[in-house]
Amino acid sequence: MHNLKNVALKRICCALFLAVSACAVRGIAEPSQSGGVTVIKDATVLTVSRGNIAKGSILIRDGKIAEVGPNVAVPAGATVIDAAGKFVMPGIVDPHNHIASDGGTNEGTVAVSSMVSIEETIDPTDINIYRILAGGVTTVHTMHGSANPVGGMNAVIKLRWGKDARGLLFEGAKPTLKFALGENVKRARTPARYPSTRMGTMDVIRDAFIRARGYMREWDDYRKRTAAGDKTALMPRKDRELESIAEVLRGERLAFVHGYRADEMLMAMRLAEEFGFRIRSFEHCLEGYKIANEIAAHGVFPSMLSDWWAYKVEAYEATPYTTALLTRKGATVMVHSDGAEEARHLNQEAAKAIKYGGLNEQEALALVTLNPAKALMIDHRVGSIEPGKDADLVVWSHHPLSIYAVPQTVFVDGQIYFDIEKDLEMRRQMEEERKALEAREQKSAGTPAERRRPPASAASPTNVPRHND
Amino acid sequence: MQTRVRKITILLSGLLLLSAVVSLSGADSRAYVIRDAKVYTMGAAGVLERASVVIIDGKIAEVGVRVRTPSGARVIQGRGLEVYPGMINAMSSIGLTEVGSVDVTVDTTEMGDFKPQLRALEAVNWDSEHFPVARVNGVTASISAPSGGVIAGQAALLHLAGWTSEEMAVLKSAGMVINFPSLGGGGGRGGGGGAAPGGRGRPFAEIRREHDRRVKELAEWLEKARHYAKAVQANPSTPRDRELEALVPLVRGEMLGLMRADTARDIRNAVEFAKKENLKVAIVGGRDAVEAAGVLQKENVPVILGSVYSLPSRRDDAYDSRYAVPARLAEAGVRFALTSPSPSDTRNLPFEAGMSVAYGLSREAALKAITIRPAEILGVADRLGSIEQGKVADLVVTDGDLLEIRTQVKNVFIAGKNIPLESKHTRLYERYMSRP
Amino acid sequence: MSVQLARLPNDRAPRRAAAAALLMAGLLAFSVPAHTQETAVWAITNARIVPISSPTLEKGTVLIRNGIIEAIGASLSIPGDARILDGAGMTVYPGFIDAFSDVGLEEARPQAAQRPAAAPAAPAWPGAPVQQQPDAEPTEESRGLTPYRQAADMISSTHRKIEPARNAGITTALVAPRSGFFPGQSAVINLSGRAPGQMVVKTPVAYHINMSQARGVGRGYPGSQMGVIAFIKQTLMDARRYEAVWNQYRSTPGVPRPEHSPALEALQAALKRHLPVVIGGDTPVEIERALALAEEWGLNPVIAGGMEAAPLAALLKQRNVPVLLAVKFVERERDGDPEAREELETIKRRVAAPANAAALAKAGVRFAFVSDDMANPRDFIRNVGRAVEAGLDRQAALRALTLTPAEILGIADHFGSIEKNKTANLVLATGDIFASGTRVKYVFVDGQRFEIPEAEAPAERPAAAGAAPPRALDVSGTWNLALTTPQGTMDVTLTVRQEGPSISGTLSSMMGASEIYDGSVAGNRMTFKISFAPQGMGGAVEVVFSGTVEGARISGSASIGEMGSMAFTGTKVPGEQ
Repeated sequence: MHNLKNVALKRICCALFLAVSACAVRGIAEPSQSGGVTVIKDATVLTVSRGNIAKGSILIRDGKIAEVGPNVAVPAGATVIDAAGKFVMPGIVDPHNHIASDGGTNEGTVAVSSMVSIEETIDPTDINIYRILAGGVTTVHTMHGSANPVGGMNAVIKLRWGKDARGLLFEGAKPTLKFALGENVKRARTPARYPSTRMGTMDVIRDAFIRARGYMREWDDYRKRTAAGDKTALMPRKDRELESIAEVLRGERLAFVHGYRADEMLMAMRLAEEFGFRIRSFEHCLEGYKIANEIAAHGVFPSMLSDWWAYKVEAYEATPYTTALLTRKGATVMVHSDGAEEARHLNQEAAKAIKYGGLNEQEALALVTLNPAKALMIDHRVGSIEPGKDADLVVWSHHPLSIYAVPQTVFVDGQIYFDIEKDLEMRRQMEEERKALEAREQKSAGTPAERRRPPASAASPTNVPRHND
Repeated sequence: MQTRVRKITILLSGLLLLSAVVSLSGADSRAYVIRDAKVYTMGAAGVLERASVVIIDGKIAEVGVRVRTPSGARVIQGRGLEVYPGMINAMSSIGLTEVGSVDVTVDTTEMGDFKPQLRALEAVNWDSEHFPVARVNGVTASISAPSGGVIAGQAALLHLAGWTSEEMAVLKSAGMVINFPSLGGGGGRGGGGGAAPGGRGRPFAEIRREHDRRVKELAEWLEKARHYAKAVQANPSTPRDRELEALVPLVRGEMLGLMRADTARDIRNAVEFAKKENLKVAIVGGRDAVEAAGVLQKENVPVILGSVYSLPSRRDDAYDSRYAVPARLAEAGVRFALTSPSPSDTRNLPFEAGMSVAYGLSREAALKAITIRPAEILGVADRLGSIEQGKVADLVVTDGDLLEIRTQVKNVFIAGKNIPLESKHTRLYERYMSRP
Repeated sequence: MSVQLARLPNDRAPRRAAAAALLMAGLLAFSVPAHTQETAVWAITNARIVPISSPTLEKGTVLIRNGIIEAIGASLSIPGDARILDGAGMTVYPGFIDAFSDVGLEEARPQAAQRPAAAPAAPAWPGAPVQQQPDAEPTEESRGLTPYRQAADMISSTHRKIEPARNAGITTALVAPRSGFFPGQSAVINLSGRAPGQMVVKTPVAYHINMSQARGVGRGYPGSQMGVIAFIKQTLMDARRYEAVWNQYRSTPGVPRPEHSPALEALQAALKRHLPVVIGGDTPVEIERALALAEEWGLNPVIAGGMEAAPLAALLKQRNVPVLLAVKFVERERDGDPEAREELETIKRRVAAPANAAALAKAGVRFAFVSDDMANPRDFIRNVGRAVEAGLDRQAALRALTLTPAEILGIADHFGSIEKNKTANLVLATGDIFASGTRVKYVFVDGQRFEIPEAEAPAERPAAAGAAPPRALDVSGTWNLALTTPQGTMDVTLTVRQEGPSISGTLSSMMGASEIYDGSVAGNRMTFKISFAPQGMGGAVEVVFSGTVEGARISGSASIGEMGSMAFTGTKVPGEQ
């Protein structure tokens, strides 16, 4: 106790009279700087794309993987991380989650909410960013909910904990749009909302695409007339709702479609074909095994919940074998979390595709790394350990497909954003900080200034609850 | 070629399935010997390398390196395999819940706050798809518990195979489920946490009044039950009261109280209450049990833990705080069982244990927490929970570490019956794998 | 008579004035309209005057004529027609400006209904699902899109909040419609309680955007934070196009006529930066979003709220964005669970709140205090006082209540300081406005005097510990202190000003300076506090210095809560007073 006090006192004295830390109020730890050059040495390297290296090293330079192999020369001045006995794999890419966004994941008031964008409500202070990072995840596709046939625009983020909203965005990631089918969409609402059947759901989606085509035509016409020197052409309205759907039609934005039942997913593929685009992914895809051939033929990247079932009627036919089955039938399959807890052990969820259906280890690891990276078209940057890719890496205590594997160190862009030792240190610091603050409050509670009647604080208009629990 | 092989496989598995169903149907008096396997007895014998287990008439007849093979026994070559006691899930509503979002398939929560007379066993749907899905992963017994009100009713302990719920029942009444009145706080559950900026819960004084009233009411029920028991003894013609009657074994300490409590304060209050009322209890849930470990250890109250696959309940908590609960409890000398409480997740019980090992629990303690510990807590350790002579033959045979996801289950025995490793999921898989 | 009238609660003042006048007429057989009885010429004499724009006059006079400050000085001759108000013992400040409030505004709620009121159509057959009603075409108003609304049109001179605000010393306020995403344009009003037309000082002042909210005005779109932002951006995009297509229409025959929209029309002045846009935001995330919106659309932003703006101080300074700064500090819940373990974030937020203003000031961010509709306006000034205790320079605090808001709101020619020709908005307090025990005794609005009823004065604290004890030690001057820290000795310079038993001043080291507060001298002991915010502590920590003075020497200890304490010794620098 005495010691603790002394440490706290030292810390305070160190900081005495220094400027207020910008991060202090936000409570965000700055990532540890590991310098420009780092070498992770002597680990079992699971590259995912190019097999395993039994005793390999990875050279990280300027946030990128510079070299991987059994014999990597350590440049002078490099930070060396001895990972002997440990395992390194690419940072996990979670293709479907809802973290790091505030004020609601659904714009549920309308059937078509393609005007809204998760990117505009990124909340970099969401503690789940850190928690998931500690589970080895480095990239997340954080998505609009499934309340609307045509949902909102999603965001791809890197878990650069401590950075601001813009700093989290995955630069240059292909934009995506959420769609949803089935129970969540047709569920009764107050006030009532069309659609309330799967038929109506298809109708709303078809209508949205027809409107988007009309919108594109309107703009094409305007551009043509303007180019021809026609000064009487009136500029059409830029419409966020139709713009994002038009982008899907033009192939500039990927369609991620929430679907459970085989029939609704099959029909959605047909609808997409009707409008000349491809569905990029079926989210959850629980009955995808029934239409494996069609899924493979259409080129969908099925995005699976590993072994969830029976939580609703449309999940009653789910099986944990679907991931393996779809893989065997030729689809590029991924496993997602759909939640902050599940995201913390996606390595285990991937291992379930070995248990149920017999994928091999490389195939299983790809489910949560390379495959989602491909689906999101960011595989040139992340998803495997290859020279030139981002140094998004996880050092594990055991083979990541083992239940005993615990992430030790997590790199994003070559920076350490989670380290199990530093985490312990941070906890100690937080405890000290709490004690110091509580002591201070205790003390000032005794001063007359504080004894005054406190202001009655009603919720201010600028201070509404920020989190949608 | 490929297709033909597959067809043959399917045919074979179909035949196997048929025979398995047949074997399940009759009184399975057949004897089995699992030979030369690594046997985790979870009993005094510890782990036996290259040992054999003999099953006769549903019981474990012999365990050891040298055993006598009864004539006509079916032999399972266990070389390279591992044998564990069947896993026991000490908290669930399996059999009472089919599809979570469809209330007509859910029979967990009755109206009213004090319903000690309700019996889970009387509502268990033995044809629930959840039973086969759970047992093929090696979970052989589970609690099936009601959940509503303050006294929710009586839980049953079920074997996860049988023609009827009566056949499945290990204990018709395994414990009285009591949702101990909560004072809330911590982790945003209940009101009055006082931590939410801007947002305000109910005044704490109000919560406490409500809580105290509830606790008093609960005590009053117990008092009435004691009185009732005396009255019946003194005067056998005392009119029957089905509610109080149900509470008599509890107040006599003959029935386990399954006291749901999650915050440290609620746990402490529940333990204190049980002590005062002379109840034999286990804490169910126990989210913050680490903070109440002292009293749990001192009063020797075991904990039936909720899923460790949980987010920390507070922003400040360590990211792994829930994963590490079992390790912390073990360090503090608190007895506990691990559970996978959602019926559809029952099959993940071994992974609850595995995850606990990853975050600090010894592997041995983790194995115990899903076998012998729940058996002890539920009072059936004389029959279940370990591989020892005379015990019920609930076994799981694997090709590796039971706690590892990649491990495959090779055989499951429930009460000596060799259970076909087949479920709705395997059936759908087989069917659609064969779609051309 | 006039005094009595002026003392009447303002919301009833006109009616009572009329009633009193009638009574007079009956009794004395003459009648004079009430307003002519206002004293037009005042001389506030012998008062300590804090003009803000110039140094404090320890003893001076302010002359008011017809609502305007005629003169201010140490030795003015009092005109014969002036009514004298003896300001001895009182401090005169410019009237305080609440830079964002709902005082005096009677806002009609925009019609929120988004669905037709008609009953849903009957089912086609028994048990058939009820036919879905199509959305009623939402109006601009129902969607919270009313940038054309003017606060100046909504002023109520009898508004219940005017008198309590004025009693706290607030003479002027920025008021804006609140509901909707583009609720309208704000006005500055003077809290005289006269006719609305006489209250309005400036209109329009700014546009307002409510962005940090997760709900719309009705039950329809938008219903989430995402939706709100999308709606706002779509509206600004539409407004941009609106200008373009109308220009095209006006200049080019043959162009089809675009649709008229009052809302998009009204937004043009915002897009052209003719008026600033006030955007609400308290947390760094909210403020970042507001700044990004302004940047994207070329708006001239002002942040309203800013309760947790400190981490963004540098950015706000760099972009020269003013902040209408709320001081509605979060308090610990009084009726909460005593055993609840609060989140560190919550404690940090609470501890850091009062120090927020100081951090902004240090970074050079322009800010004006706002009450943010606090239930009790007195808490507004009190909490500014807490910001001072937490390290905000007293003078800066006063400025953020007076001249800075006047500058931000574009009314500094007439408001914000005690200067010749400025509006006679004044506060007469019984002492330092931030000192406990001080009460506001008189308020002048447009030269009209309001005597603040005693009963309304804070009764919590007796005035400054009663009479000063016999003059004790004089510690004024500069002291060199050596502080023994676990890292070694640290040299610190203490500059002290003493007024009776209380001391103020600064404590500085090579790392910067801190204002000292709660300083006092009793017997031969000198005590004072400083507040500083060490890295990673998430808020200010208080250090209490306490030492024994013997001649020119001092020795004592500096304690940091329960963390422990450090010894210090020091000597007074000779040659100074």
